[in-house]
This record gives sequence, structure tokens and C-alpha cells, in this order.
Amino acid sequence: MDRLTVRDLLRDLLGVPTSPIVLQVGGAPNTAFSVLRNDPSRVSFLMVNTGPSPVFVVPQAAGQPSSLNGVRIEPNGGALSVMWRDDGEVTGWEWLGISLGTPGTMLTVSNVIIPGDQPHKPAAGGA
Amino acid sequence: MQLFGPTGSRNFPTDRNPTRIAVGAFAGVVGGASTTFATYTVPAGRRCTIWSATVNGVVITVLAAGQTSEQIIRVTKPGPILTEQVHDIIQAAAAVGTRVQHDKSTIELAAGDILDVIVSVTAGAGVVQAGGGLSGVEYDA
Repeated sequence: MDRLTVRDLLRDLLGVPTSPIVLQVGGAPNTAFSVLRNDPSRVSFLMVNTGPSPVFVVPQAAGQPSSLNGVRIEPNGGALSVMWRDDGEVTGWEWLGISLGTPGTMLTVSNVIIPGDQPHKPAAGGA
Repeated sequence: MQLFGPTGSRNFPTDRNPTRIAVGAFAGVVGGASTTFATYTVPAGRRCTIWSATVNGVVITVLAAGQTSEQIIRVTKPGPILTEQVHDIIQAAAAVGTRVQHDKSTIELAAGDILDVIVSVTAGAGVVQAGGGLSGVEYDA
């Protein structure tokens, strides 16, 4: 069978079909919000801070995000990339974020396992 | 896990609300006069990188005996503390066409710093046609 798309290659690589999900999420300033919902089928994600303030993000099990707790993603395009092969199950956990000073906006691009080759329907409010 | 972006609280300095700075002038300086061809003060809460500051002068009327001309690029830091970046001189009795030209590049300035480009001529009949300027970018500290 010919491998004509990246999705074909990913299926060969991972052994399962996957599909990307692109979402824009946001939150009020200085208030924790869900950037990515828990999804054990998520194999990788990229989150980009498109807002003007730093955003701290943590996997939900690490507690509430704050300026003293989390991975700091710089404003105006700073990004965090997580992949199951490097980072394990934390890739599929819920990730919380907090924007310091101004409303937060985050662009997320997730890659999730799907049954068959059907596009994955994202859950409301986070992937 | 890979994190992309600078580790500082901001991105690149010149991304921080930048303003282009360009000041300069050109005129004759007669004996006994001192002309500031460019002056710039960094506002509070800002920093500035001056990419280029120039000063020049050419004698257009022969300088008298004992008459000289100075060409100065100077940073005054709060205090005030004068730090001269360029200070040259056209000697007494210099002939028409005698010239001085300097270009100072990449001067970092903090809030309150003043950059001046000055040409002065001591008393006498001689005249120096002079000029100077500066250009750079100002951004949030």
C-alpha cells in the first residue's frame, strides 16, 4: 500500500491512526483555566502563548498554576511541545494555565489517536 | 518536553514597544559659538540603542591664530557623569577645507541618559561648517 500522506506515515510509526486537533482557548487574567482537557489518547501537543503576558502551565496533578508553579511560556509566540515518547503519560493529562496580568490566549495543536481514520471531534473548552 | 522562546520576561529588546530615533542638523558655527546639532534624552522606563552617532566639521573661513574648533559626541549619565565618546579638535589657524569627521556606533543608553552631538568654535574670525546626528531605536526597559 502506498504511503501518500503524513497521516499514513504516522500510522505506520505509531501503529494506530491519529488526527490533529487545533483549538484556541483563553482565560481571565490571573485565573487558572484549562488549556487541554484530559485525553489519554493524546500522543503529542504543541501549545503556543498568543497573548501578551507570560502563561504558566502545569499538568493537573501538579496543582494550581502560578508564577511559582509551572512551565513559563513566553508571550507573543512562546511555545511548549510535549510528546508521549519523551514525556510519557503526562502528555495526555489535563493541563492548566494561568496568564499573568492580561487575559490569556493559547493556541493548541494536539495529535490524538482515533478509531479508524475518522477526524476526532474536539471536546468543548479544550482538546 | 521542549520549550521554545527566550528565558527572559520579554522577547527581544527591540520588540518592546520600539520607537525609531533620528535627530540631526547641519549649520555654520562662527567664532565664539557652540552648537548642539543633536540631543536626545532617554525617557523614564525606556532604554535605547543608538546605532550611529556622527559629528563633522569643515573650515570654511580660515581659523584665526589661537582659534580652535571642537567636535564632541558625549553621553551624560545621571549624576551627572559626562562620558565623552568622541572629542576631536581642529587646530588653530587651520586652513579652509580642513575637516574632521567621526562616526560612533552602537551606544547603549539607559533611562535619563543624554546623548549630545556638539561642535564649538572659540572666539575669532574663523567659521566651521558643521553637522551631526544620531539614529537608533528606543524600547521599554
